Amino acid sequence: MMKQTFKNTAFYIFVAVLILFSVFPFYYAIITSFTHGGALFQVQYWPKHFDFINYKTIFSQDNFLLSLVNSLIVATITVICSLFLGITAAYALGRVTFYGRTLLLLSILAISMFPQVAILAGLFELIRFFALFNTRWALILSYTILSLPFTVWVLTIFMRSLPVEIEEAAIIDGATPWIIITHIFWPLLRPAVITTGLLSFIGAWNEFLFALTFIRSESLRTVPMAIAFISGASEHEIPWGIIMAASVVVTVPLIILVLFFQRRIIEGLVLGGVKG
Amino acid sequence: MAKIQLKNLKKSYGAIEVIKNINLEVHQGEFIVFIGPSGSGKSTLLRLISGLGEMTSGELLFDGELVNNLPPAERGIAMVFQSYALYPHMNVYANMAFGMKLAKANKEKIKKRVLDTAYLLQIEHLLDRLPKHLSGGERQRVAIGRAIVRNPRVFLFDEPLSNLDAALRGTMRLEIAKLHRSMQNVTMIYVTHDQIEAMTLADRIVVLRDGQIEQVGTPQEIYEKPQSQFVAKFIGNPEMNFLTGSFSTHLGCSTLGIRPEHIDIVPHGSGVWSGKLVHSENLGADTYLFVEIGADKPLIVRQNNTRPIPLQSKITLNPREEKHLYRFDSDGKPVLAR
Ligand SMILES: Nc1ncnc2c1ncn2[C@@H]1O[C@H](COP(=O)(O)OP(=O)(O)O)[C@@H](O)[C@H]1O
Ligand SMILES: [Mg+2]
Repeated sequence: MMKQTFKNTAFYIFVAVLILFSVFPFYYAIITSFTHGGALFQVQYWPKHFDFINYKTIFSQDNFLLSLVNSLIVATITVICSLFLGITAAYALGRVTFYGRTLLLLSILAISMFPQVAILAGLFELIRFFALFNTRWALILSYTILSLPFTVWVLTIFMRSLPVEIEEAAIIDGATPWIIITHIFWPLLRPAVITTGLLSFIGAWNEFLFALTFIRSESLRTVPMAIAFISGASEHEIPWGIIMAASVVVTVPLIILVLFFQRRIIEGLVLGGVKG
Repeated sequence: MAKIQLKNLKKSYGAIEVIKNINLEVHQGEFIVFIGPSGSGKSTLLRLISGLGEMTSGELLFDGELVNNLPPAERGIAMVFQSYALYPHMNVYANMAFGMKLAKANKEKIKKRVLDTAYLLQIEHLLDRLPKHLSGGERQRVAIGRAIVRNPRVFLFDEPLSNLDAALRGTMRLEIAKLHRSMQNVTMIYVTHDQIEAMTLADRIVVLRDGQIEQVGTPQEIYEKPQSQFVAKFIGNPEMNFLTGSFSTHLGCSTLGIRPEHIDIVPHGSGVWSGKLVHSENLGADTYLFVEIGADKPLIVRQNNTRPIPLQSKITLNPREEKHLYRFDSDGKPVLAR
């Protein structure tokens, strides 16, 4: 009895510490975003008063709003591209037998382990070659490349876990290829598609290195760059309050997205139920 | 409700010919069982009939009509898969209704048919469950139900019971037999590697070996008049005994076969074989005696009295009747009566 209580207590303490660690930075960012001027430099753990001046400041900057739009465009198109390519590739890798399939799958996995910097130079050449430098397409291309290995890998595994016989049963029931895709594949793959799509979106939304390298114009900057380039009144002042407000603003859409799809993601992660 | 004709059916995967020139006529309303060892082409042949697989050459006719180029859904077939292949995201009702829904049948009609079928199979209480919440036997019932709802001309079963445990397999076997009896004139083609299923369910058995038909016949014919050593060995449990060398040559054949159930223990001096009892298996109703008579393997004798015989004792054996001796030549073909 005592032992059980102790175990429970220890468990909740552990969970509390874990949550504190992971949530605290974001919490502190929120608090900072509501403070202004000299108050910034006093360490405080509870918000004393809410000052919306930082938010007013960032939303009055056209560049910041523009960067939100840019990020939205880039991330959305990246998701569409990588899901389209990912699903079709997964179909081929999961369903069609061809020579070198396993090798291809393994190299895809290997590629996803490369650090981003490793492909930076090569990608730069590629983008120059296609004359995409300083366009949104440069980012869409590089983010798609970045997210594809993972997307393809996960979707292939899901595709393979769907027994072919289910497809065949549908064919006998009179389903056309379109019906099979919409009524059988889609409902079964949806959790995986949503999960990988969301991860591509988050990846594209937060990416900094490629954006810094491939974009020069201020009007094409994405959110992480825009935040990095926020400057204070003088060279020596880093406007933490504004930066934190901006960070909070760009994180909120992600949180909303994740919460919205939460059930689906969990389904996706635990989906073994297809075996039936 | 269909007569099915297979004419010179062939199927190759690349250079490998998996189905080699199959000719067969399945009568209307017949229950046909394809049996053969794993890899003999049973599933491939069934898939050719269903239209899921494409034949390399040959003709397939349903009721005299060539269906080679007809897609599966238009052949009037229904198939029950070994893995059940239920749609995991649809409940039992939706699983069973899917085919009719795609055929744009009206809602009332679908509902009536699904409910009638569910009643027939006693799965009414499962209609709003997902497949993952069903037991193996229930899934199998639903899969059969889905096939029945399609109201097909031909039922195709691919080892439908092999994922079930022994007890359930027995129950489901009975139900399938009952189903065939209750659905008059529905043709059924059933693939299995289980000889009990074949013997108990079939009107006729087709024994397949390496993509070819080894023999077609009623269960009784297959058991009593095997047309090859392969069939003789494949059907029967325990397996037929095969004797070679001096045991067979004086009878004018290279291999002599006799089933364990056709051997009697006789008083010393009156039988043709004698030897030592080296092992015995008591199965309750039957006892299998392993008798070392000097052949390659001990002779298995099936006795239905359970009077225990001590190990190592000497036994004399005799075939029950002359007709129970099967004589095969060196190609495994039967030697005709002298
Ligand atoms: N898609 C395929 N590609 C190549 N060979 C195949 C394919 N499907 C089946 N085979 C081969 O055809 C033979 C018959 O297979 P199958 O019909 O599944 O046998 P069974 O159902 O009697 O066990 C096997 O040797 C198998 O390896
Ligand atoms: Mg098979």
